Amino acid sequence: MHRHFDEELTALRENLLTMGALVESMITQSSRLLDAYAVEGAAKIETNEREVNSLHSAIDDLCIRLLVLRQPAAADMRLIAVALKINGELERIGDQGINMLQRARQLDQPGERPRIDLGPLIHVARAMVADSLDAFIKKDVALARRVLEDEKSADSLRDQAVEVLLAEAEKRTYSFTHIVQQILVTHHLERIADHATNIAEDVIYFVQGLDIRHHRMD
Amino acid sequence: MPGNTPMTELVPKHLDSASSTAPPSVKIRVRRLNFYYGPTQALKNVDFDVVTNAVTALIGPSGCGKTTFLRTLNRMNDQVPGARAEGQVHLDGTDIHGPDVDVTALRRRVGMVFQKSNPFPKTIRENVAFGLRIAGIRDVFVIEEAVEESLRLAALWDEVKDNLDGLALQLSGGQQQRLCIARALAVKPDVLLMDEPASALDPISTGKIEELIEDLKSRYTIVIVTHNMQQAARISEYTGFFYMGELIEYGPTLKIFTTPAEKRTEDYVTGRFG
Repeated sequence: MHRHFDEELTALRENLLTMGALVESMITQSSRLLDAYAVEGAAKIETNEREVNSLHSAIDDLCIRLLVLRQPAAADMRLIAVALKINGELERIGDQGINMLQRARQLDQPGERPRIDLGPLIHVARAMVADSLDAFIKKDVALARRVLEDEKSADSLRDQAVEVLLAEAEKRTYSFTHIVQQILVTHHLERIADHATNIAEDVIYFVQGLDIRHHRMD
Repeated sequence: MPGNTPMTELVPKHLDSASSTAPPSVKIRVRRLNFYYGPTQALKNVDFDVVTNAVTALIGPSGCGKTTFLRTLNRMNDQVPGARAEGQVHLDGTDIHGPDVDVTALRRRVGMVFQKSNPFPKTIRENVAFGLRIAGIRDVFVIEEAVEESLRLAALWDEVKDNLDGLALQLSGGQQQRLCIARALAVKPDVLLMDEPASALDPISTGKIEELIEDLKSRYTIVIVTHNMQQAARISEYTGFFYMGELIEYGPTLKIFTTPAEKRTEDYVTGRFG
């Protein structure tokens, strides 16, 4: 049976996807700026962040309106409940994109020596965000669970990067500021992976009604 | 009974503490209940456990059998010509269809409140006292005490205490419905059956009835038929979904309204039924 409510739920999903595309783009662009800082790239990220913040408010408003006016149950209720949460996770991923932009600015100092390669960590964190959103749209629990597994890789890559950076700090091959900024970048990427993990957990609740957070299903 | 939750999993979360891990006690146990209006089968092989001192909501589209099921719990359907029940309905372990069962006594233990309030054209006092007089109670003091207690339980005492000899039919619709609840409570039932008790009331009166049901559940076992799913979600601990005479799913209300096991339940509670 056709419901007008379904059109509103579709609009909600589409808004979340738009927001997801924006934050993915922010991660990609801020990662590039770590290698080669460019003013135009920075401006693009800041524009994206304003759009993300605007969508964050709009999606919250839509969710609250649907909760109040439609009084949803079952799968409809679960969709709106997780949309509220995913909305918050995406906004925070956007914040991490801005944080990475600030690190890129700090690292863009004349005479600085080459940086260590954070490519694998960047790749995993970005893929986790993309996969978690893909799992949400496709209601793909297997993919969501893969994101949960990927968090371990993200953590390992972060630990390895920090280890290398600390070793470099001992050797004094980089400035203290440089090391701190790079460690902060690894922290931002690890937080992005955490937010993607939270989205994947929300997807599992949305599809199966299972709350697996905090190892509740162990 | 497809999709039903085992009884051990029926304890609502707020009661599911270390101190209350025992499965809930069952007030009415229904097994393999079939019901017919002449050649038409209205209930098909229903198994159902009504939990003691809890509110159980029955939901489902019109004609699904939920009111028929409710009325089998105190044999109200006996009065319907050509109606016939098969199967077991045990109240505290006793088969209510047993040969020794006094149907009038059964209906005192299992009281009923109907969709449309139906006070007698008598005074407020006489409405509440009616069941007691039928039961042979003549002591004026006993009756007066029961009238006050029942009206207090029905959250009506403060509104009518100065007008007990006023006509019941002069009360508002919401007050008349609470008077009917007081009348049912006066004979000290164990179970209250409610058939859409608030469907004809405004939101304020509906709210009062719902508050009353929440107050009463610690003392009575309540089964309520409602078309208002938000009402079922608000006031009940357990919900049963009926469709075309079958009990499709029965379990804790939270589960039925968040993660139902059956697609038909999901479609109904999300309004996709078509």
